[in-house]
Amino acid sequence: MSDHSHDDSAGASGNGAPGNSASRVANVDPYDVPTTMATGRVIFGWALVGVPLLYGVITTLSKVGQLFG
Amino acid sequence: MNWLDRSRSIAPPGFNRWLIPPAALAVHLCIGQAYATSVYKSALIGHLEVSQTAIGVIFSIAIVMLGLSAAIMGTWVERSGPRKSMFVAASFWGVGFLVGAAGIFTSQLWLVYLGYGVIGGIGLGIGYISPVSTLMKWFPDRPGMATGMAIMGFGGGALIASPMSTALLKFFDGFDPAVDGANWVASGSSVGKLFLTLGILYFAVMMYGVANIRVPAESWKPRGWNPSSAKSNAMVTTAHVSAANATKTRSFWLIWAALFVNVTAGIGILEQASPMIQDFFRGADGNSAVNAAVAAGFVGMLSIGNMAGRFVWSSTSDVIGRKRIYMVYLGVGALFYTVLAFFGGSSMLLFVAMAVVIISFYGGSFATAPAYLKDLFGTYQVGAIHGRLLTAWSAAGIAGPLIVNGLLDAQGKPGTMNAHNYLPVLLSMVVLLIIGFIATTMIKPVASKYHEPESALASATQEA
Repeated sequence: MSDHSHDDSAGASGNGAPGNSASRVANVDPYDVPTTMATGRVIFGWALVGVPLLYGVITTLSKVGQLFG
Repeated sequence: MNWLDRSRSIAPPGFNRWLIPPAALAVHLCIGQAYATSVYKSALIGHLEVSQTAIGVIFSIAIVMLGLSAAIMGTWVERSGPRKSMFVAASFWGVGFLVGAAGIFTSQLWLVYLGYGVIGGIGLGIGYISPVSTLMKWFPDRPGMATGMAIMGFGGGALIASPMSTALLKFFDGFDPAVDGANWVASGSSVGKLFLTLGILYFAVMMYGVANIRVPAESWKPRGWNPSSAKSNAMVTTAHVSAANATKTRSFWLIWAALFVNVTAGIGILEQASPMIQDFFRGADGNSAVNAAVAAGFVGMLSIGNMAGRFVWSSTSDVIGRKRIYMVYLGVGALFYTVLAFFGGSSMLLFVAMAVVIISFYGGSFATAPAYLKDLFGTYQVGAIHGRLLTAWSAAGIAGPLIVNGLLDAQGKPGTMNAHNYLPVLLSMVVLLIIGFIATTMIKPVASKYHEPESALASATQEA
């Protein structure tokens, strides 16, 4: 869901990120690498915002039930 | 604090762009608490021994400061990058709660105005615009969906804050249902403790966003996405316009007008939601078929519609175009307001359905606005332009309640009226929406004389 490419390497910090090996090869776009960011970080991030949001929606829907109940 | 600099937040190769929306949402879900102030309103009135209006002013100051700080600080936010600006927003929002708590503990209303209203309001404004332009840079293929995700959080923040604050207030007060009963009102000290808790909690959650936000490297684009495909739409530019020049264009002020009338119309329902539904279903005997608990369910339904509209309609705008979606918000909105005015009292289902769709348009207009600005003015200073556009929100926040309350005061007292008493206010909203619809049809691509020259863009990139 998140493939990326890039036209130049300006400003890349590349802190141990995947794709650094690509940048060592001349004339190869260092950003033209598959996304390999740990899935765990994505899941944690979405859970951090998603779980409270779900709590809020469910709590609100329980009140909405009285509207047509 | 170098790690806050824009240059230190440029994403490395292979960075997963789907980490950016949670970082943005972490900010917007926190500042969305601004919509949940009604939870402790009665407690503050009792504790500070002031009027409803005096407490309402806290929220008004915060919204005015939101618009002003977004407009004034927008260029700084764009220049400093999302990490530094989100950190500043988290600090202001957190400190705002702490100063507000000091005001509650010492029964000094002016400190609450200063804390939550002024300091917190600055946090609101900076926090609102901070991640938006970054999201559009990460999702140039779906800018409407990207901004919809973040700004949905502002609507969703109240859904979280409202039950969470109620639970915390009950905890601090040692609430006992058998003793305190249904008419329990939180004590002032528990509201103070709530402010302390929220200040620390929100700062911590927003810092997750600060730590995880990244800007894409210059000229990065999603794999397989061709920028020229977006240009096939005449309303989408590949040029860039500065914030100073954008405000000189007619299109900017037409979008401003469209947002202003749509927000004003939305506030027409949001402001009076609870008494309005009770009045619409009041029988000849003067009793309403809708009690306070059912009305609270209606308010909850509107909150979900507000939140969902931000994501759904903004995402839809990626497919059908920004101008068309605004024509839907304003044109269909005017139609639905008319149906609500004349037939809303005939069916509960019809009333709720019309109101929820209208409020979803209200939310959608907020979420679609940044993508519309990007289409017309490019990404160069879109955050700063967005900040200036948000003055429409502040203006509507003042004009909406004035119009609605002024017209309703002439009819009677909300909560004791009938459906026909709402005709003047609802039909006024129809007129406003039609004006907004006309304004939207007049929005045109920005003339090339306002575009930034390539040399200016190149030097700006080097400075960043």
